[in-house]
Amino acid sequence: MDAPATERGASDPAAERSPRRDRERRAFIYGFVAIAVVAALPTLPFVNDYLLAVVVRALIFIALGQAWNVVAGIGGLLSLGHGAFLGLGCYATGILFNDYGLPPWLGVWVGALLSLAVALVMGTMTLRMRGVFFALATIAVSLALDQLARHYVDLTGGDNGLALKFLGDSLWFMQSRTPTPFVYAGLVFVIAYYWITRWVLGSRLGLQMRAVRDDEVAAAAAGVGVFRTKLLGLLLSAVMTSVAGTLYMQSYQAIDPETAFGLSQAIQLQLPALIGGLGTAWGPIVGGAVMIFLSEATNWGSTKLGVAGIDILVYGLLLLAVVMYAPKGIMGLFAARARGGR
Amino acid sequence: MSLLEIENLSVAYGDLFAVREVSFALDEGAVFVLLGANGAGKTSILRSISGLVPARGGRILAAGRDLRGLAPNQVARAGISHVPEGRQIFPNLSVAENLTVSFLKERTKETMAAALAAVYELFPRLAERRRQAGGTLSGGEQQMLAIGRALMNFPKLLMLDEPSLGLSPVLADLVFERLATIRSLGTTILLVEQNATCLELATGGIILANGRVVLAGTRDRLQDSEFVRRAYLGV
Repeated sequence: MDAPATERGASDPAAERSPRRDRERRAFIYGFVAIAVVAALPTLPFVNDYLLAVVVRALIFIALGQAWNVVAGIGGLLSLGHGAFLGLGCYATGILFNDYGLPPWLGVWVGALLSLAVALVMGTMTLRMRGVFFALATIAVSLALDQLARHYVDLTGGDNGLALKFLGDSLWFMQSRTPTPFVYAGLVFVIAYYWITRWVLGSRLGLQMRAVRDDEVAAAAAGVGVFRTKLLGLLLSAVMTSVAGTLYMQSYQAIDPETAFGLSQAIQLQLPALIGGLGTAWGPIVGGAVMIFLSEATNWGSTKLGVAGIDILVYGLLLLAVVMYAPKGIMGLFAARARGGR
Repeated sequence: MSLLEIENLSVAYGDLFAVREVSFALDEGAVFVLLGANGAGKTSILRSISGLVPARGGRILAAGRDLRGLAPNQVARAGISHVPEGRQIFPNLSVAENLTVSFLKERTKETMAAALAAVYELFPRLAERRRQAGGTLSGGEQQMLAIGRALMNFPKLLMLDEPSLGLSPVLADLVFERLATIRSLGTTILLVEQNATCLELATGGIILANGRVVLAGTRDRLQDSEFVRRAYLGV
């Protein structure tokens, strides 16, 4: 679905409504089919645990991309350190479970509160300034958390990271031997985050965020509280990222400082929205699916060839291609075709 | 009490004073013009009234209330709308979204529809293009959109920064014509211009040079002054 902003309405008011509604209906059908296919996967005979694990990974990165898309895509705030919120979600859930036996159903909210607090401090300090300060601050916070996680070995396991104590299949502690439950959990996340994105796009906050993204001075002159708008977008995105972090933790059962706060993780969080289409509700979903598919294919390829790191190279080339040929992402290409076809 | 009273306003960027101790007052229903060449401090005055830059000294009183220290959105809520220089619209938002984003009053479907209808009535062109992205409009249409956006809150005072800049004479005339209509509907106007032809519309104003007031008075006084004749009208 393209953002209303990229749409050029036809001149006849009667004719301009129906293609839009058609597209909505088609998007709904595609969405329904995609949900049905993913939900049916675990029941199919030829689908093994490896394939399901890939699907879970895709769903988690789609959810993380959807969260990043709120602040960066809709709000135009380039966060290069969203790994901080992912890591806080992972570590909070993991530490509370391992050390205190707290189920992730509760740990998730502790992580979300921590992320909210970190985002609040970070945003209050940097969002009044224009330009690159916010982006730099997000990197700094990630680096600081990385150091903290490495330093407090007793709490976090230090460089080696933290592994969840495994209790066997348990809904209460969100643990499972097979990836199947996480397919459904991931699906719930992606659907919920899709609706949150749709809600933000259609809300007054989303309109103000897009206005701020376009032009801060004009937004202020139009009566938009620029700082407040940016901060709300950041807080929402941070909480979404952190909550998805809990799912990440439960499905991978382990976290370490590099995976949580490292630069490559921060970049991976951005790719779904960048590839799929910034600021759109469908972008991170399409982009995340493409990204994980490519990543698995290149992983397989590099193992066959015996060359490490091909996946990183492919990511880089893909990002270059998107920036050069499809700056509005895959969804932008669809929107352009829809316009051309009319 | 004046609608807006500026007392000894100074604005500075670092050590550089853009505006020095400027005073003027607007009565309700006025069209007040700030006239001056590039760098005379006109834009800085508007920007300090709407809270985009802090005042270094002096007072800004709107119906007796000091506006200094208010954030731009609070000034807008106080009934003062600013159309910034250079038609700053939101290029990726649709025309309708450009308008509704600035709507601050009690937000119901009805109040917003009424505000939209009022703006569309003034600028029918915007109604035709309401689903189009703002950035795809022509220069004149973008200026109308910027003015329409500022009118969405039915402001008591509308401040415009060089609305005729970059427009053809025909389009500039159209913009001034619309300003006359807006005024006749009861909105006070504070207009910044380099172009003295806008004096036609004015009830009064001041002429600025290097951040200071060099001449103040009614339209007739400004139009008849030697200064304006030589500097602006070329007669």
